[in-house]
Amino acid sequence: MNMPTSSFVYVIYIGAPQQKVWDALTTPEFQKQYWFGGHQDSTGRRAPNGRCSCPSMG
Amino acid sequence: MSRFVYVTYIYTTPQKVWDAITTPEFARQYWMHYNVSDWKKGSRWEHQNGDDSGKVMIDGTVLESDPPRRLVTTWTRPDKSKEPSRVTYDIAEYNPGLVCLTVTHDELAHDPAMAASVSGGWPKVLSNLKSFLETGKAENIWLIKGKEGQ
Repeated sequence: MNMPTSSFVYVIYIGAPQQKVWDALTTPEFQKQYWFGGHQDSTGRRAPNGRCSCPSMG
Repeated sequence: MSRFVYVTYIYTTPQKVWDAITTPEFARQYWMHYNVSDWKKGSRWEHQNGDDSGKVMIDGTVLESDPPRRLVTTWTRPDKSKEPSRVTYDIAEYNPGLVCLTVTHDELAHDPAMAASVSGGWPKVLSNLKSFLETGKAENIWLIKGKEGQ
């Protein structure tokens, strides 16, 4: 298997405007609706403790 | 690159995913091409142009067929200029009404051009498949002159 071990790349085409994808990634209220529990702060950075509490991320 | 793996979760049933891959008219609505075979082990399959020219874009042999869970085929250039690669569709019911689809395209090391082509192609096909099964809508991504990221 030649999968990279230091990076993961995923490409998906979504029928939505660019701005909506940005907002979905960076807005906590928006994130809650699809990234359950994996909250980020309002600047789009990961929470200061650097931990992801999202159960779906294992 | 010898192997390409793509995982997508789709709110649908395994049977619908199976049908979407193996039914020519269904495939044409999101893949824009027909997949034609009786899908029995050992049978030939053809990926035919959806423009109804009957042109075979890719063909191959069905290696495994376990509807609606698993399909394995070879993936061959019609001119047979390179050895075939192989595509495996694993269709798992993650939860009722939610399918985890894993497409593995491997044995590509001897054909870098095909590896590059399918690395760009599968995300389009499988994004369109997800959109189509979940919303009933899919556009012809291949006709859109778009900007890819990275």
